[in-house]
Amino acid sequence: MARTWNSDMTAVLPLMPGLEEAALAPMGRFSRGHRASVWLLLVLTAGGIAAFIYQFSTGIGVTGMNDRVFWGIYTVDLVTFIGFSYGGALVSAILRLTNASWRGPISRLAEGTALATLAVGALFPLASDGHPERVWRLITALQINSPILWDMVAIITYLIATLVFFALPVVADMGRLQSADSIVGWRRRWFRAGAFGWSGTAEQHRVLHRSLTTIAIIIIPLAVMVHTVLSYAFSLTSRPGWHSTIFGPYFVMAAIYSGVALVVVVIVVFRRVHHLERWIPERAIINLGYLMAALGVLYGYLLFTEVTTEGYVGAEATEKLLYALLLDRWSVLFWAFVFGGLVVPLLIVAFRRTRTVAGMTVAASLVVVAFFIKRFLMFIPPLTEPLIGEEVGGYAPSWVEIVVTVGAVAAIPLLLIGMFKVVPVLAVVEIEEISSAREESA
Amino acid sequence: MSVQERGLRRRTTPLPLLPSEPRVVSRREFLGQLGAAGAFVAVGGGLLPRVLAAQDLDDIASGSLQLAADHQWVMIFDLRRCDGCRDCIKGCQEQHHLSPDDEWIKVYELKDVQGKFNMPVLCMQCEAAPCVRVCPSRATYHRRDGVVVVDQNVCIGCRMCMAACPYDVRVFNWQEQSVPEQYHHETPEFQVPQKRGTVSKCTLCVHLLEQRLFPACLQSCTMEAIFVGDLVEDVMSNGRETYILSQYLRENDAFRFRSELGTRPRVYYVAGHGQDLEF
Amino acid sequence: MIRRRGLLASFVATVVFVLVVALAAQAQPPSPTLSISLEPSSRAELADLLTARLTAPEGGPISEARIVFWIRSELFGERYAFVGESPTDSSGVARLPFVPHQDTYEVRATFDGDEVWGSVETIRQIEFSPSRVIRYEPTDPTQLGSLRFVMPRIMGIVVGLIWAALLALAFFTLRSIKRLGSIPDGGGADR
Repeated sequence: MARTWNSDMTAVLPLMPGLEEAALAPMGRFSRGHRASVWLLLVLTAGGIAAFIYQFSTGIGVTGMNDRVFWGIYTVDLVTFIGFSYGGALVSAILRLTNASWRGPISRLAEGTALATLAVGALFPLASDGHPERVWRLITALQINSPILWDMVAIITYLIATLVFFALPVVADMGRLQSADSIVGWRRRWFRAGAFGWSGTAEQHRVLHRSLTTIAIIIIPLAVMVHTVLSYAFSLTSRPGWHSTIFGPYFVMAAIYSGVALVVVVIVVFRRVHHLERWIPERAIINLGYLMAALGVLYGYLLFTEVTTEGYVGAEATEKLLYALLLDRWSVLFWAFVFGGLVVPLLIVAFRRTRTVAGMTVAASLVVVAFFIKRFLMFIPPLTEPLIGEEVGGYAPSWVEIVVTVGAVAAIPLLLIGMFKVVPVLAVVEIEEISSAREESA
Repeated sequence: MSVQERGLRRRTTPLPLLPSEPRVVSRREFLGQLGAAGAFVAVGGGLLPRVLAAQDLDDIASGSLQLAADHQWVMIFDLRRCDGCRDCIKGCQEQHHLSPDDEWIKVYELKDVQGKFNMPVLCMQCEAAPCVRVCPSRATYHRRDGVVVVDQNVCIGCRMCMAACPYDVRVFNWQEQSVPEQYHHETPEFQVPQKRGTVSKCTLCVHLLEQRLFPACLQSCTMEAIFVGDLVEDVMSNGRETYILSQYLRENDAFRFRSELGTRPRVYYVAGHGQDLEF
Repeated sequence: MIRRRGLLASFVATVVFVLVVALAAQAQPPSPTLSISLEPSSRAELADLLTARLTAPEGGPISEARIVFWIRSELFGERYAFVGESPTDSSGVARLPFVPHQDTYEVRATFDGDEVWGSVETIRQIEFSPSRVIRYEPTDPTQLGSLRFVMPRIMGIVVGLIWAALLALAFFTLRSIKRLGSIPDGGGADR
């Protein structure tokens, strides 16, 4: 067997000073305030689960949905969360392929966000179904013409890709950190098992690098395709406002834009809480802000084309819908989205004075919230508009739906906190690779 | 036995004609139980052929399902006679023991150049039914006589069919319904009571048609505006008048609602504004 | 006495009977005869004609009479479906184009009668030539029917390949890492 042992190993070199502590910081004890917030998140998540169990046992009638508006907040949550997840992994993949030197410290957080939001978002079809216990029929009935089946296939595909993309660098990091001082007890056993014998040889680096590049190449078109398929649940119907060829790209763009925004928020929070300022420089966050702004402009362009092509022709059904959106019933929410989700974030990024970590945090938070609103506007108004006749439908989420949604929102930071209790929060090996490459070129 | 034949056989589930008859476990349900018993069996032996084979449920639109039965039911509404009294809704709700909020047939008041008219809308039994295409659990399917029914024992309640239906005729059962035990009946064709968390819709009262009785809405229509017809025999009747279907549709300029969507609906309308009522 | 009274009574009864019969005969117009036949169309694009000939008892044609055509249907119990109506011409023949959907029909023709002629109806089995019968076409598949069938299956295969590729990539990467890391003199990273 051809075993090569290169003495020029990064593994035998000592870690960069402070990197080990930073990468393992979330595994340490939390301060009292942080513990309290974790408890709060736990309570909220448990409340969401309890509300779902209540809904499951009493029937889906406890929601505010009705025969006209038969999809509600759960669908909004589903698409929003899965959208967030697409953004996370896509950012990481794009930055890897373009070899952005500032990607090192943020790629793990971006991929972790993708995994957590995907895990939570993928549960919402269950909350939305009348009979969640029958979902196995998706597999046994295998109606391959159904957009619902393809949604499931898309989510699973993306879950596999994200897991692989997340797990492979983690293997290397576990190998790198398995003998760290703070890794003791079950963590040491876990790191040793998860390291898969990683010792940092040049060959191992090469294999890992090659595989990650391959997945990064696969994952970009995959994320685009997969989110397009998610849009098919809506665009493959004949409903005005849904039945549109732009829906695929529209979903993809919304996903990446809001996904990058959520990554910014997550990074800022972890950076602040675990004092990672030295490893996650301001420049990385500002760069992410630039990326977000570019995607925001693209999203605005898609919104413009949608409104223009539908509104100029003015087919009866879409005309009514657009009127309700732009000027009538939904106009407050719509313009709140346009200003809060597009104009203000772009302005914040544009001005040098506001182009700070704080500014980026505000902009990104605005985008994250705005995309809940935007998804609501995408799904609910086309349902309230009547297909026949004049009677307008109505929808207000019930307390059950709100509690479940809040629980899901709380579950995402909880999952992230839990995740970084078992895997390093910084991609140590990647940071080292980048810095050694930079030294060489210098 | 070709795949197609197998598919067709599956749709010819024997229909208990009388509500008192015990429930027949159909092949559909049997398949469901099989799947529950062991998914791996299905994965190994069942799924691959299902994917590769011509799917009966890929619907009539793809041409793989040949509808072949003694009857192909259609409905005809003569809007010249409809006065919007909503008796048909009441008759339907009584027949199927629906809650008063659930209307399988709706009557809209619409306007055109000649003024207001009443437009009864029920399931169009589309030949290229969007609901059948999108149903992930195959709960909704075409019978061989073209009637689209829902098997509420396998419906997962995702409501994709409601999204796909351009006629807004599907009704979701948000609440549990209580119906006295003696009226209970369990077939996709005649389900009483409606099951919570599943979708219901007009079945064209195919359980009555098979007993040579008229649908409930037709029976309760005092204006005699509702007809039921058969494309095979080419005859239509409202219980009192009987006409040649194709001839009646041609001579009265019948139209189908939103047929431009490619659904090939099986409900015909004769345009009118209730003028038959004014003498 | 009694016999004479009886005779008188029977005489009166006979007269009344004769008068009633005579009056009745005068009120009842004579019944014509109606016969149904099929007149095949000479041209393929034209429908066959259902014809009914209305003739007086003495054999002459009755013109300008309204003949109604029906066919029997057992769709919901026995019914006669209205086909149409047509007046008889100078030779006493009423014609109605009819497109058959079955091989045989029980055709009924009725004449309601007028002030001259009494009402009459006739029923006859009519057999159409199979080439003229328009059978119900079950479907007209859409143009894209075959694509609709093939596309999801191709997509399914593509997705299967992607799943396989991703899992294989993960598997082989981890295996190579493990293989390349197992160093004879003990793990380097542990030191």
